[in-house]
Amino acid sequence: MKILLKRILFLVAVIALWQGVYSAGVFPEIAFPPPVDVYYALVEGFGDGTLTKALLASFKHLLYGLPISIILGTSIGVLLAKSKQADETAGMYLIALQSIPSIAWVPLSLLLFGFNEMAVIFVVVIGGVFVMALNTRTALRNVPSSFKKAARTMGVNGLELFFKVEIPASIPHFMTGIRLAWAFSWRALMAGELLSNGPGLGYSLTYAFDFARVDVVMAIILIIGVIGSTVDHLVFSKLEKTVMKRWGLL
Amino acid sequence: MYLELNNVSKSFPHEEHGAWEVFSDINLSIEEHNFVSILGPSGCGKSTLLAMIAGLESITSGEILLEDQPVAKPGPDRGMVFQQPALFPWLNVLENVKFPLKHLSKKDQVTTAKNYLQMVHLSRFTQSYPHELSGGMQQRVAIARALAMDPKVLLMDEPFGALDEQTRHILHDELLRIWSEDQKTILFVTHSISEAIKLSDRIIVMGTRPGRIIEDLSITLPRPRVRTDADVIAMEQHVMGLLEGEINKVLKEELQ
Ligand SMILES: Nc1ncnc2c1ncn2[C@@H]1O[C@H](COP(=O)(O)OP(=O)(O)O)[C@@H](O)[C@H]1O
Ligand SMILES: [Mg+2]
Repeated sequence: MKILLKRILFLVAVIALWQGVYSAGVFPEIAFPPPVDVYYALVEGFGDGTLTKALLASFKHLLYGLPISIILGTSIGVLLAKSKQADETAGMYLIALQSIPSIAWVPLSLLLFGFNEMAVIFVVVIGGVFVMALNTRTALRNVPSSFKKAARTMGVNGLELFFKVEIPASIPHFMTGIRLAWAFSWRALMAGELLSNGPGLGYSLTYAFDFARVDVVMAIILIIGVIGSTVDHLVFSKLEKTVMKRWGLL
Repeated sequence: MYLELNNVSKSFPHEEHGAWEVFSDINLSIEEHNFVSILGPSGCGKSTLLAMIAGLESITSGEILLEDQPVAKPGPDRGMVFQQPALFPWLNVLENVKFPLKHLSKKDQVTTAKNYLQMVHLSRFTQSYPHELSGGMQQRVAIARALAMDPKVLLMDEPFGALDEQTRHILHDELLRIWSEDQKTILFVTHSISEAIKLSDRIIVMGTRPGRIIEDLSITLPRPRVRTDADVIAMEQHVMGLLEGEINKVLKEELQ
């Protein structure tokens, strides 16, 4: 409760500071809206449905992209964890690929798929796949050998060992992978949509910029941040914590 | 003989020397229903020997026979309890004990698991998850899990080594009770002299560099054995004398 109060007070202070900077005229009005304008932009955007539509379009891209990146990333991770050959050959490149910011993939994606939603989905997939693969690989490698030994003394080995022990034992790291895949995919989604022909939240951002609607620009930045953190907090972090607790890791 | 080790040796591959021999020519015969401890300083190869009997480690040379059948890979005829309970955290206590019982019908799995949980006095915790149990309780679940397979031998590798003194004593008594009820053959690895004397019918004392058996002691003292009993003290002194030289050997090497 005390924490919540502190957080609310902090938010109020930030808004007050924002208003102060606006009133002092530090930036020209066309570049820096007052808080109340952004509030009205939000009300208007959700009122006439433009922001809602953009948001739904963005979620649709994620709905396709995120599962693909999770499935693909998991497969790559399993392959690298289980095959020494594969890991020695390709493992290193995974980290290199992971280090490329997702916006760098956007031009290539647009050239490959054209200005359509496929291009955006491709960027989302690329955004999440490598971190998913890395975490899956770590998850499987960190399965305590005591689990595997104990299972073997109980006559469990081979594929049965993989499915009954290694996979469940990997779930905590795997959940971390999913949470990070979400976070990276969300960022990639915005990068992809920014340069796309819409629809989507990122596209609405470019659109607002083109029409010099700085209040809408700010409103969309807020939405991106709120959704990014809320989904993390309410869905993925919660799931991860639940799993960690059950697995005795917290 | 029930469990027999004939000229068993173990070497691990080694970068400099090509191979590093932990022990060689171990000969050992163990009778059914016996409680046998393997006692020795750390590093003498106790865990390796036990893992070879369990089938987790390969046998470099020699043979291990259980009821005249050579041991090659792990099997349900040998149950093992490790220092770490190694319970599966995603399964509750009952499911953990059921884990090795897939050859039974669903109903028999539950009945068997519950029987063994009762034996270790954990009937009230069947639905708990491992992280909700104390270390001692977890180790009791691990014992129930190993016994539930109804193995011919129960292999225990310093099973109480990670527990506090108090819990350890309670589990000693429980293990002796279970052993007298269940009549299992137990091979118990420890580096604690008093633990070995308290529990066993027979102590195999191992030395190190190279690993080998330095003495094979029978203990006929009646149970329960109390540490202050004169015979127990005499026995402790005797074993201490045997091990002193071995422990010094390890220390000298580590200090070099
Ligand atoms: N997988 C392994 N590879 C190489 N050396 C090993 C391996 N396992 C054990 N050893 C070596 O074998 C010796 C005996 O180990 P261990 O059986 O664990 O001894 P103990 O259980 O008596 O303390 C030690 O010197 C240890 O370093
Ligand atoms: Mg050991």
